[in-house]
Amino acid sequence: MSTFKAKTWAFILFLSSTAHAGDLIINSMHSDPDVKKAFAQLLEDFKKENADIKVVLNTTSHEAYKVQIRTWLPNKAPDVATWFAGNRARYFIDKGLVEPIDDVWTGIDKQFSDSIKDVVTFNGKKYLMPLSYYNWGFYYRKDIFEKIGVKTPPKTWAEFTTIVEKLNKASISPIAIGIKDGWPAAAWFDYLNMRIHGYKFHMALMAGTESYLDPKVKKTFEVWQTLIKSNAFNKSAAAISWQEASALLWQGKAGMYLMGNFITTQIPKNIEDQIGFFPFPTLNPEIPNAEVAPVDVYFIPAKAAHKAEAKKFLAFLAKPETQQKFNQSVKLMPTNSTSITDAGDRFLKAGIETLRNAKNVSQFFDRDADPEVAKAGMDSFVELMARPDDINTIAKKIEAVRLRVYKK
Amino acid sequence: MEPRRPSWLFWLLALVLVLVWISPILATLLTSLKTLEELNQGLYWTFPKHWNLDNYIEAFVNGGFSHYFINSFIYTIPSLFGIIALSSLNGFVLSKLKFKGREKITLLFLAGMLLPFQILLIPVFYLSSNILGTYDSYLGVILFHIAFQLGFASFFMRNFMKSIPDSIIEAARMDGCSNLKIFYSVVLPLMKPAIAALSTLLFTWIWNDYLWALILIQSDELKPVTTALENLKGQWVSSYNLQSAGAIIAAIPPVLIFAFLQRHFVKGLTMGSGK
Repeated sequence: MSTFKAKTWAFILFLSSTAHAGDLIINSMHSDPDVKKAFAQLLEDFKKENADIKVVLNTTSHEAYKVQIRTWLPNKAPDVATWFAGNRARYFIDKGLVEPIDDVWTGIDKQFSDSIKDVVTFNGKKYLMPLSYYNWGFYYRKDIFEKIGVKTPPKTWAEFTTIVEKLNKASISPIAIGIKDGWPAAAWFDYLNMRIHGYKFHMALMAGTESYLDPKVKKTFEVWQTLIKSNAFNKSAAAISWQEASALLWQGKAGMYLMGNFITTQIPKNIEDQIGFFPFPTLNPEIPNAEVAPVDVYFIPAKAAHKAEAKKFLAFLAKPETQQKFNQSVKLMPTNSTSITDAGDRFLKAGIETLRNAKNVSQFFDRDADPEVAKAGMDSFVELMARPDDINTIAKKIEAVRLRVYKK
Repeated sequence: MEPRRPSWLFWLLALVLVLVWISPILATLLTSLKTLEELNQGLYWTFPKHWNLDNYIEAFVNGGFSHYFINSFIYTIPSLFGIIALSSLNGFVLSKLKFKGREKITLLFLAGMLLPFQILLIPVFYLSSNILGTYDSYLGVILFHIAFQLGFASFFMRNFMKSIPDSIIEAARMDGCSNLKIFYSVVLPLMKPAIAALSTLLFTWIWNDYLWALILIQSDELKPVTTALENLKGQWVSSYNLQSAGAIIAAIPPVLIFAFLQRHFVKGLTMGSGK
C-alpha cells in the first residue's frame, strides 16, 4: 500500500509540475506552416550563437493568441512575445505591461526607416522590435485582363471601374473577396478612405478623434456602395474565408483580389505566370498615396523572468542577416533597411517598389483602431457588403461604439 | 397482425437524412487526404488526386500530435476517475442518507449546473494563477474539470440511486453493514450502467474541451489535442488538410469509447427515468 501511496503522490507531483524550464520562453502567434518552419530555423541560428541559453517556444494560433495574451501578460508572462505594431500595442504599453528596450535600439536605429520606427515608439520610448512587414494590393489574372482587352493594370479609379464593367460583361466576377472572418472587408475601407481623404484623416479616425458620422466617411462608404452595387464582388463573399475566395482567382472565376502579399505563397504552380500585381489605384489626384503595410513585432513583457536573455534575442532579431534569411523564406519584407531585399521574387520586388512610392504606411484597420471599435467596424463592413443600401445606420453603429470607448 | 413494413418514403427520407448528417464527416475525410494546393484550387468535394496518408503522418509525427494525444489522456483519465469517485459518493449521501438540509445541498449542485461557465473564466484563471499556483500545469486543468463536472455528475448519480429500493440498503444495515460498506459492496455494483453512461459523457466532454485548456495552459508541452488542432490555423494560411487529419485523429478515442460502452450508455440513461 505504501508504494501505491508513494506512486500516487509522485503522479500528483508530476501533474502539478509546470513546464517552464527554459531560460528564454517565447510565445508566438505565428502558426502559419511556412512561418513556423522559418522561425524554427531562426531559433536554431540563435542557439548556435548562444549555446548556453535554453529556448522554449510556444505557438498558439493567431485568433486564440489574441484571447490568451490578456490572461498571461499581466500574470505569468513569457520572456518574449509576438504582437502587432501600432495602437494594438499601445493598449498594453499604456498599462505598463511592456518593457522599454531603448538600450537594444541604441546604435541600430539608423538601420530602420522612420515609418517603421514610428510604429514601435510610444511616448518617446521604444518598446517593440520589428521583424517583418508586408504590402497590400491587387493580385490579378494577366490572361483574363488580356482577354477583355486590358493591356496595362489600372492607375486611376476610372480605369479601375472600366475594368470592373468589362469583367462583368465577360461574366467573370471582377473582384474576389471572402469576408467570413471580417478583416478582408476592412482592407477596402482602409484603402478607400486613405485614397479619398488621405492618411492624416484616416489615422485621426483610427485614433478616435474623428467621427464616423463625418461627411467624409459617408463619402467613402458611398464610393464603396457604388462599387458593390455594380456587382463588382463575388456573390458568395459572406459565406467564404479569404483562402476559399482566392480559389476563385486561381480558377479564373474572378479577375482580381485585394490582398496582402502572403497570398503569393499559395499560388498554384500551374498558373503562377498568370498572376500579376498592381497597387490600389489613385482616387483623388491631390492626395499622395499611402499604403497598408502591417508590421509584426516582438516585445519583452514587463513581468518577464529572463530579461537579459530576452534582450539578447531581440538584438539578434534586429540584425540584417537574421531579418533577411527569415523573410526571404516566408516572402515577407525585412524591416531592417540594410537587409538585402531583392530575393529574386517579383512580388516582393513590386511590393518594395510600392512602399517606396508611398508617402505613409498604415497598419491595417484592426491594428490601428481600438479593438472594440475595430470589431464593430468589421461587423458593419460585412453588413454593408451584404446589404449596401443603408450607409447611415452602419456609420451610426460604429460611431456609437467609438463614443463609448473614447468617453472613458 | 404483422407489423407494418416501413414504406419506400421512409427509406428515402432516412437516406437523405443520413447523407446530410454524414456529409461534414465525409468532407473532412476527403479534405484530410488532399494537398493544400488542391484545396487552394477550390477542389473541395472531389476525390483526392493521389491517395495517401501523408497528412496523417505529418500531423501525428511532425505536428507533434502523438505528444498532444498523450496529454489529452493525462487530462481526461484522472479527471474522469476523480469525478466518478466523488459524484457516486455524493449521489449515495444525497439519495440514501437522511439528514437535515439534504434537499438544499442537492439544490446547490443543481444551481451550479445552471451557471454558464463563461462567467467563471476570470475567477477560475485568478484562482489558478494567483491562489492555487496551478496555472500552466496538468493539475490545474484536471482540478477544474473535476470541480466543474461534479454538479451534473452528482445530480445524475443521485437520481440513479433513488431508483435502488431502500429495502436493499435497510437489509444490509440490519446485517450490521456500515454506510461505507453498503456503498462499496451493495450500491456500487448496482451502479455499473450509470457509471458507464456517465463516463462516456464525461470522457467526450473533457476530451473535447478547448476553452479551459486555452485559458489555463500556456506551454506547448502541456497542450491537449484540441488546442493543438487550433494551432494548425495560421494568421494568414490555414492548413485545412492537416487540420482535418488532426481532427479525425482526435475524434478516434471518444468514438471508440462510445462504441464500446454504447449498450450501457443507453441503458444508463433510460434507467431511473421511469418508475
